[in-house]
Amino acid sequence: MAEARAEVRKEDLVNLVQDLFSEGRVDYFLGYQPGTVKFKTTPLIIKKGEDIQKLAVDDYGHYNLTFYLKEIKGRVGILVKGCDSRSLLSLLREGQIKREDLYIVGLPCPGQIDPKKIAAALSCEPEDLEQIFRRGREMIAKVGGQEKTVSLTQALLEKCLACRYPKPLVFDTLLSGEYTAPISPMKRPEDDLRPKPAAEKWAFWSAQFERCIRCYACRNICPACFCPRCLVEENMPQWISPLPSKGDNFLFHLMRLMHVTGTCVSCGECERVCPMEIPLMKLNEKMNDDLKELFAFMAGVDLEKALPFRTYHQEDPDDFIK
Amino acid sequence: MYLKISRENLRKWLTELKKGAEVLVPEKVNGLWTYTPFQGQDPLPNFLNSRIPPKSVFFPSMQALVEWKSSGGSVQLRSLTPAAGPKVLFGLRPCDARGLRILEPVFSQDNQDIFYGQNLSRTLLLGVACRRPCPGSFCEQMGIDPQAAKDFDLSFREITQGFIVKVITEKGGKLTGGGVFFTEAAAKEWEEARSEIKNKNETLSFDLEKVKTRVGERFTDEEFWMRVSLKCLNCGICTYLCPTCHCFDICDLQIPGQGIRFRCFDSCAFPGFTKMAVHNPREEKWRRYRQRVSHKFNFFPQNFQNVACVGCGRCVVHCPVNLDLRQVLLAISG
Amino acid sequence: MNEQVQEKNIYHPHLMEIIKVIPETGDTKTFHIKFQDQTLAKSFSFLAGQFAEYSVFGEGEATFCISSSPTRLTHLEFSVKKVGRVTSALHQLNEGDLIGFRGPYGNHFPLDKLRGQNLLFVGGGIGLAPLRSLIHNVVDTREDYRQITILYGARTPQDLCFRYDLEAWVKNPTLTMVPTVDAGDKNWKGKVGLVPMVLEELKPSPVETVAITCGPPIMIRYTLKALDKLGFTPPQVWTTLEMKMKCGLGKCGRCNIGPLYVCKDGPVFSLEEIRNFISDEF
Repeated sequence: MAEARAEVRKEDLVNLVQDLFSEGRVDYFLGYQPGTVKFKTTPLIIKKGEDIQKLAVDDYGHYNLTFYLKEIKGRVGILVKGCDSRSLLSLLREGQIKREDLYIVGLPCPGQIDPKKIAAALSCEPEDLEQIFRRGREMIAKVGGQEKTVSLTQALLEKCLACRYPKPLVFDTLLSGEYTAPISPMKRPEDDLRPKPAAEKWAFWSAQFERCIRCYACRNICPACFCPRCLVEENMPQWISPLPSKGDNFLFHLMRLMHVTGTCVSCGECERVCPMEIPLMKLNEKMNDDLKELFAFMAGVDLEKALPFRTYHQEDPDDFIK
Repeated sequence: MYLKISRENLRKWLTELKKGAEVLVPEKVNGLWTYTPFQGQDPLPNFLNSRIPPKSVFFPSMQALVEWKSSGGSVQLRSLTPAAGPKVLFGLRPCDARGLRILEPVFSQDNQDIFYGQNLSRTLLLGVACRRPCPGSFCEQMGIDPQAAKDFDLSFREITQGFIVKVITEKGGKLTGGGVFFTEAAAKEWEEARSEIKNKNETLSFDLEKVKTRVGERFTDEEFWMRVSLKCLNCGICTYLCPTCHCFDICDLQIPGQGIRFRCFDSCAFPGFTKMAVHNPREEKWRRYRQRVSHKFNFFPQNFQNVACVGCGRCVVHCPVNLDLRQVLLAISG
Repeated sequence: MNEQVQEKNIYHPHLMEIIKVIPETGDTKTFHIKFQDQTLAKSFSFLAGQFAEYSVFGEGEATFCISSSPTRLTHLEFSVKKVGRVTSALHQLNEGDLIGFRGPYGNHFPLDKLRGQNLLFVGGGIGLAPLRSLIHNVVDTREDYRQITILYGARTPQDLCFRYDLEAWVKNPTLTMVPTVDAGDKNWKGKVGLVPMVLEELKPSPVETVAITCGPPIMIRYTLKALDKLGFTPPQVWTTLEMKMKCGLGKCGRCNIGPLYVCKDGPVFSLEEIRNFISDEF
C-alpha cells in the first residue's frame, strides 16, 4: 500500500497563528474549524484573544477564504491552498487588496473530498455515508457498517482532478506537508460539454437555468465578484430582472461570467455552494479555456501580465462597434 | 381509523388517483430530491427530504398575479388564478407539513391570499413518518415529532410489507375509500410501526422555551449579533430553502403592449431588502441576521402563535459557510 | 367569471385615470386620479392617514399616502417625489394616462382622539402630503375641533409644496397658518428658520392639544425634541413612519419593525408606541 501523504500538523498552525497575534502582525486570522454536520468544514474568523485551539485542518473541504477579504479589511492572516492563492494573486493584480496587509500561510492539500460524488459512485445517498477517511492513498467510505474503497477520481471534487497549482504561488510561510497534485495526469470530466454541439449545450443550460433560484450564493462567495454594487441590484435601468425566470437567470449567470473574466481562477466555490447543483464550473472552465486560447492569459498566476478585460489602448480595433 | 397498504398497492392507488388529480411524489431530478408528477414509479425511494421545501408547491419562487395588455391609451387588466385542479402530495415529512400550517395564517389572515390558500385547500397532504434523522435537523427540539401525523390528511408509517396508515381528516379518508387498495388495520399496528429515530445529534440541543424568552432580551446586544453573523455570506439560501420563510418581492415584466406582474422570493438577508431612497435601516449584516432570528423566534410568534422554524435542517446543511442556527440558538438560550 | 377572481385577488390593482398633474417643486408632482370603474368610484372610501400602492404597469408599484381628504371623494390625490425607478416613471405620465391603484391600506389618524382638542400640525417638505389629508378632513368638519395651528416649512420658497393649500389656509380665519423656510429669497416675506426652531419660538401650549408631525427624518427628530421641551407627552404626539413596502398588506414581510408591520399596524403611530418599539430600524 502506498504511503500516506504527510499530514498537516495542527500544532504547527496554532503556534504560527499564536505568534502572528502576539507579534501584532495581524488583526484577524482566516482559517477553518470542523463543521457542525458530517463531512463539512467551516470558515473560522479569529481575532486576537479568541480561542485559537478551534482551528483545525481536516480532510473534507476547505473553502477558498479569499472572498472574506472583500469584507474584512485591515491586517489579515489567511490560510490558502494552491488554488486559493491564485485568487489572492488576481485580487492583488487588480488592486483590490494590498500585499502588506496580508500574512499568507500556505496549506498543503490532498484534494477536497466530495461526499456527493462518493455517494453516487456507491449508488447510495450522501446521508447514507457514515464515515469517509483515507487509508494510504486510498479513500474508504463506510456505508451500512461496511467499508468500501473508492478511487480518488471517484472521491475528489472535479476541480481537484485537474489541479495545476498544488503549491501556493504567493505566501509568507508554508505549513509543512506535501504540495503535490492528488492525481496525475490531470483528468477532464467525463461529462465535459466542450466538444458537444451548440444545440446540445443550449438545451443543457436551458434546463439548468430553469432551476436557479437567484440566491446569489455563487456571486457572494466568489472572490472575483468584488463590485460593491452588483449589476443585479441596479434598477435604473433594470438590466436583469430579480425574477428567477429562465431568461433572466441566463442573463445573470452569463453576465457574471463575463464580468469575472480575467479574475476568475476556477476555484470552484460557485459550484460547491449552489443549492440547486448547477454545474457552474463548466461555464468558468470554458471561459478560462477561451481566455487562454485567445489572449494567452491565465488569471492569478502572476502580477505582470496585462489584464485582457481591463486593458485598453487607443489603437485597439473597434470595428465591432456599429 | 387505521388502514394497511402494500407497496405495490400504493403504487396502483396513486396511479388511480392520477386520473382525478395531479399527484406529486419525491423524485431525484438532476441530483436533487424534489416533488414531481408521479410517473408510476416506486413512490418512496431512498428519500430523506426534498431540497426545496414543498412550500414551493403553494408558494412558488415565481407566481404570476395579474397580466395586462395595453394599446392606445387603454389597459386591459386580467387577474390570474392559482393553478386549477386538485393535487395530491405524497411523501411529505412532518416538519414540512408543519411549515405549511405555520404559513397558513400569514396568507389567510386579513386579506386572504388565494394563491397560497386555494392551492393548499385543494391539495391532499399524504405524509410519511421519518425513520432517520436529516443531517443538521432539530425538529424534535422545535416540538415536532418525526413520527407525527396531525398536519397531514393521511399519515403513513413504513413497515416491511408496506405501510400502516392513519386517517387524520375526512377528506383524507374519502380518498382511501372503496377498500380496493387498503385493508383495515388495528391501532396496535400503527403504534408498533412507530420507529424511534436513531443517531440523533445531542451536542447542539437547546431549550426552545429559553430561546423564546431570551431572544427579545438579546435584541440590543449588538456585539453578540456581530459575532454570530460575522461569517454570513448575505446570500438567500437559508431563506429560500426554509419551509417557513415567506418574504416576497413584487415585480413587473413588460414587453411592448403587454406585461405580467409577478411575485417572487425575496430574502431579508439581502442588503437591498429594506433599502429606501433615503436610507437603509438594515445596512449592516448583523442587523439583518438579528432580524432573521428575532423574526422567526420572537416577532412571528407574537403575531401568529407559532415559532417560524420547524428544525428541518436545510439551512444548517446548505449554508455555504455552515453558519449553524443551532449554535446561535444555543448561545441565545445559554 | 374574471370579476369574481379579481375580487378575490388582493394583488389586482384598480385602474385609475390621471385627471390632473400639478408640479409642486422641481422634483415633486401631485396627481389627481379617478377610478375608471364608476361603481368603484361611488363605493370607495378611506380614512386620513391611509396609503395605497400605485403602479405604473411595467415599472412596478410604489407606496404613497392618499393626500386628498376622505371628505372630498370626487377624485383622489397623491404626491410623488422623483427618487427612483417607479417615481421617475410616474413623473413621465400625463393627464389621461392610466395607473394601477391598490388600497386603502394601513391604519389612520385617530380622529376620536383629536375631536374636541386643539390641533398642532408640524410638517416639512413633502411630509405635508399625509398631513393635508387630515387637515382638509378636520377643516371640513371644523366644529369638532378647537384651535388649529399649522406650521409648515421647506428648505427654500421653491421647495414649498401645496402652495394653493397654504394660501387658502393663510386666508382661513379659523386656522393659524405659519409657513417658514430654512433660507428665504428676496420675495419671501414669511418666517425664516428651521421648522423645529420656529416651533419652539411659537411656544404652542400642550394643554388639551394633539400634535401631528410629518416630514424628513431629521426634521421629525428635532421636532419631537422640541415638542418634548414644550411639554407634549408621548400620547399627545402622532406621526407617520415610512418603510420600504411591497405588498402593503402584511404578507411580504418587508416593512416590519419588530412584530409590527408598518403597512398594517401603521403607518400612523403615536410617539408612545414608537418609544416602545423593540427596534430602532426605521
